[in-house]
Amino acid sequence: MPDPNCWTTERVVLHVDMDAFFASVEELCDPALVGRPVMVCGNRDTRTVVAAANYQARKYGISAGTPLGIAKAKCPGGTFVEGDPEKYVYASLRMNDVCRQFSPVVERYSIDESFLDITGTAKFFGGPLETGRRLKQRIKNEFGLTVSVGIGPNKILAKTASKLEKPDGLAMLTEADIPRRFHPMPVSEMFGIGDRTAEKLEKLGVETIGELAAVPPEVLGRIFGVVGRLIHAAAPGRDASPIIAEAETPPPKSVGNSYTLLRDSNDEDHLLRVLLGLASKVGRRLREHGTRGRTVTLTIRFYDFTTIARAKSLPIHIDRDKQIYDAARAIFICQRSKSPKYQVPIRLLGVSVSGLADQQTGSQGSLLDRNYWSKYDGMIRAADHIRDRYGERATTWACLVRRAENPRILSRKMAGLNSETRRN
Amino acid sequence: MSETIDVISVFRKKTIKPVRFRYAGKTHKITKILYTWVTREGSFPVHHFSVETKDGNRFEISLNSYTMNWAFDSAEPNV
Ligand SMILES: [Mg+2]
Repeated sequence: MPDPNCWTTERVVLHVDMDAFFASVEELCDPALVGRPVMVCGNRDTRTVVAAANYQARKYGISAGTPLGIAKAKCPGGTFVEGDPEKYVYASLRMNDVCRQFSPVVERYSIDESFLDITGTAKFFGGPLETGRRLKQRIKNEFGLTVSVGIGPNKILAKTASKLEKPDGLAMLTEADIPRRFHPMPVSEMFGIGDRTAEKLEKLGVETIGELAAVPPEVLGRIFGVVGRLIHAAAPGRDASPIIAEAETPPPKSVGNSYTLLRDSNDEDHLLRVLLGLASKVGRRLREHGTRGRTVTLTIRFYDFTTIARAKSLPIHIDRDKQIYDAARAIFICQRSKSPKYQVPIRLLGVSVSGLADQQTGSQGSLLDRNYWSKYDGMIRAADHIRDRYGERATTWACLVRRAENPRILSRKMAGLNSETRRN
Repeated sequence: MSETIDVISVFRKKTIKPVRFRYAGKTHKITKILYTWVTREGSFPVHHFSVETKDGNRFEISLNSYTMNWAFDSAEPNV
């Protein structure tokens, strides 16, 4: 382990953050939006939240996470655009291609943020600030998008710096700037501190990052647990965490999908079909990652937003749609029968699998049904091949295909699925 | 569902540039490609274009590289 203090001073980290990313991409697609308040949302009915707001919309007090109903009330003249994640993912990947021309060590931190370790490469571009300036220019020229760049000796200071002159900003924070520029900032500005943590800290009389750094770690630990120790370690502006390049990204800890129903529903047949669809997506992703898991978690959000999450641990590691579905269904049936308060309309369902192990180490168990499972696995393999080649929508379970056409036949298929479930 | 359309396009130096397309009984001349992005249908790229036409309208069209079909995806989807 290198000494964190001298190691950090030697590093040069660059943080790049797209300005109002989703909204900016939509403005590129439709120049008529430029200059107007634009809010990107999941869909235009009032069930979702704003995913991104451009700077004009932010003037009305709207930001990512504002419920759509409230956003419409605050800014009735605004334009609401139904977001298209594929557009943004593509722009994000292309942006990272540009970043990799400035350093081989690029960590895609989120869809609109990346960290670059430019310790070794900055000199080729005229130093850290000039590297930042050129990177901004390249992204602007190639995509017409503006980004804010922050440079620092570590991730915390780089990320803080990128916020200083947003939008279209370029700023640097060095170790020497810590007392004068970093410590006087409000705690809410610090990387890793959410609104709620900031609120709690302000109640304790801790308003600036410098004051936070002066709080003994035991006190923060007592109030915030593990997070407390983390924020205490970060407050002095020191941070030895490395930039993790794409290829080194650790395997996922869990794989999950959730779905907000178009309308709240209490129809068990329908809800189970949604569960099957979710289980299939999760199974597919587990197989893509080459992992299996042994804990299945079901999340249910009811019409009134109360949310429960219940997990079931299995004796074996699984990645088959059917096993995931069976476990999720068992939790679902058990919870629904437990209490009348759970027999109310449901808004969202989520399925996730954790406790992951490598496909080789994870066993799928049960020699008893070997014949059944070997046929099943053959079918899944074929379906996965078809989806690899022709897309995710190319194949699915029969009972998930257009139910409205013939409800009678499909409910029989659904019943068939249930009986299979019982047989195993 | 997207509708299949006829498009005149230029393939040059690994780039695709739609020039004009026929939709709803009318030929639309593309004056500006506003944004392009690529998605996948399985292992096949689908090239998407947000375009502006001579009469000032905006459309999204796409080329599926497997079927080699051009599709009309939307018109002024934000308005
Ligand atoms: Mg951003």
